Amino acid sequence: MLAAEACRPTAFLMLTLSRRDLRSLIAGLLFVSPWLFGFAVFLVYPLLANFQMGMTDYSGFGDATWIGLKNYQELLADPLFWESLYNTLFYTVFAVPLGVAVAILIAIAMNQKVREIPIYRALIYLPSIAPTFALSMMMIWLMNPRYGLVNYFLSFFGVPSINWLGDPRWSKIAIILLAQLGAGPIGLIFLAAMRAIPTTVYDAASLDGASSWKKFWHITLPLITPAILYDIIIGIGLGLQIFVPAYIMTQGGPLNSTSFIALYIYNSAFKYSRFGFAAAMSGILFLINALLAITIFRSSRLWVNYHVE
Amino acid sequence: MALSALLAFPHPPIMKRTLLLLVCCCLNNAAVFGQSQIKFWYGSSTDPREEKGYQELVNEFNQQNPKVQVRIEKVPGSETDAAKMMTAVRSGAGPDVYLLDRFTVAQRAASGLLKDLGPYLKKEGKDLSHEYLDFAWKEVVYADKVFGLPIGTDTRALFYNKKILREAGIDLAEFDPTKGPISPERLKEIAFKLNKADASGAYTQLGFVPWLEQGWGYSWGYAFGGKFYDPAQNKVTPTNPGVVAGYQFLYDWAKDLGPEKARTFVDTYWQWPSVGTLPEEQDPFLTGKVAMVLTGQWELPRIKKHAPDLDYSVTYIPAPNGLKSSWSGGWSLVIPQGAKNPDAAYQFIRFVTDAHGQEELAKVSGMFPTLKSLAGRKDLFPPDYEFFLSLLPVAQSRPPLPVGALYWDKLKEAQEAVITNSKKPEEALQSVLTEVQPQLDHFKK
Repeated sequence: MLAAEACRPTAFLMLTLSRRDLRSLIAGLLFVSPWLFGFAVFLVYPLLANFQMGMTDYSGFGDATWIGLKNYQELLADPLFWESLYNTLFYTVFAVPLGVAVAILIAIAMNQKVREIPIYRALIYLPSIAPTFALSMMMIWLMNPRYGLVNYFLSFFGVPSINWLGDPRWSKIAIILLAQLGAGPIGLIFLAAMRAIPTTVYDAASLDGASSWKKFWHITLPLITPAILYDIIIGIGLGLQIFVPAYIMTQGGPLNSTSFIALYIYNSAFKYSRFGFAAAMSGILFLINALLAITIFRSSRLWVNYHVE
Repeated sequence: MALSALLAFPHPPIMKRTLLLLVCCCLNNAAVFGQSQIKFWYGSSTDPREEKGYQELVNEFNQQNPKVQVRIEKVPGSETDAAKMMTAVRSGAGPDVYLLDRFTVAQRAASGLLKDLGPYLKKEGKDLSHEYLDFAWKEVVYADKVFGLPIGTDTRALFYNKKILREAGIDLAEFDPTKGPISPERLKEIAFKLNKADASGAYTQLGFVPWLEQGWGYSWGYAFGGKFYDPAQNKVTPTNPGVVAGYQFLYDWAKDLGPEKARTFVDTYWQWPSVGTLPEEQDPFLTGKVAMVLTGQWELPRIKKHAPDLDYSVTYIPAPNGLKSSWSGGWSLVIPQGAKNPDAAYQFIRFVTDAHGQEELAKVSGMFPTLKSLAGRKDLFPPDYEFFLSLLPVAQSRPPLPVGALYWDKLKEAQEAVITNSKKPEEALQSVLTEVQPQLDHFKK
């Protein structure tokens, strides 16, 4: 009877599992429970609490007043919100693909077969170690319109002096360029993906007389697409939350050209004591992020190669 | 279980050490038992001279009050940014005393961040409202309750480099304060004579950039006789004719300099608006990049330290019709909600903001006291502070509003639009009104 019972399938969450499977499922869940706990407490709960807070008028202290969708209504009518949204999307749309390109370049550079490659790898990775805060501080000096090294370097190519952080046409571009200094870790991931490509594939291509560009375009690039997908999804999340460089270097200026959503959220909550309003904005940012991530993920079956045959 | 039994536990070496450590900790705690610990926080943007003043006062207070120990902690934060304090208070790890920019007290009080000092004042049984300068006291009161005690104030004036002016053949007598403020038109004539550019047309020296340093909207609005708030109607008034005239002055000045070229100059030598990233010694007035600058008395010790040979003097902020104007800011000591030792914190605040504390602080930091009893005390400061002290009676202050930080930021935004000539003053200031007034109305309820 015991044996019979053990074999009887038990329904669990639409899945038909045997007793044994169920037991291992529970054991498995127990093993990942610390992570599940963290996920629930530090992600799911704040997310739900945020949506709730977005429906209130709340100064951060004392009692919150329920005001329904008023914060969202106000946001839709707020020109600075739309400007910040535009800035944030502008940043993400350019910084993320550029980030992929730079990381691929870094990975290729790190993948060269020369003896002193460890030194180059370290050098290429070095800027990524510096915290964004420190990089931003430094960039203020490097991007000085008159004495900055960036303009000095560009002057050799006949580029006229640019006021990177003070000209609304350039300020976002300056921050996009700054972000590329942090491409090292993604470059490492791409490097790992490149190293995982069997050399036989390249050997076969060489026998067929493929140029190195063709090898890159038809072998390397398609085979690292899973890593690229990962980078894009992560990059969109980080890009939409761009904050530190704008906070340090420009405070949202000039003329609100670097007022990003995350900065506006911060100012609304901590400067103007409008936590409900800020929470509503965070909610919108989350939805945009989720929507973009899902779209990219859905599209991935068209361009990501998971199987190397 | 007896201690000896515990010590006989199977893993004696480790266990013993742990216990020993524990006992040490307990003893240590016992030593401070019965002693109140006060956490006193100020923001990282605090002037180093003021920091020194507070440090000395804390040492003195700790010596006088063995039962209370005040500890200073410097935390991230600036004038309008109190994020660190807010999050700390929410998590129950907030300070007992915080140094808060006085014009934001109303706003922080309205949000429920600060403790009402009413009960403590009542317990002390002394009416402090008449002891402090009126404007300073008004700034710490919100909805008829007192939320902090005022500490330190300042005034703003026009600094001018005599050497540069003299070399351009300007008669320095025009700047003599006894003749009152110079007119904006005349100032412009003089300043534009001092502008220099290199071969590419980029400015290398400017006579005056009215929006540099303390050239905020408030400075020029007040100089042109403007009002920023109408208390009778509880309305912000950024479109007041005087304020508009002040912004128009900035608009025209920028237009004549060329907004982009001016911006490049400012970003090169001052790195606006990343205030605080420029080392003191590179202040464009000290390096002679600008011949004149509108700023406060804190510039005096900087000049003494970094450019002792600078030949300069100070006069009134330029204004039409000889209007003498300036404005004053300053700080306040507040007790945030959730303070562990509010009683001792109050005792400390009283010590610092009372006559002795303010006198000592003034001597070290150069901040003016907020007590009426110390108002005429020129002897607390070096002689070059005298002109700034003389401005106190004409100085105005920013309206203490529960939307103070928002109003400040929006006025700054409007100023940026005006000096880039991307918006006309009326238009820029109108949007300040439409964005700030609804938030202010919110607090009337």
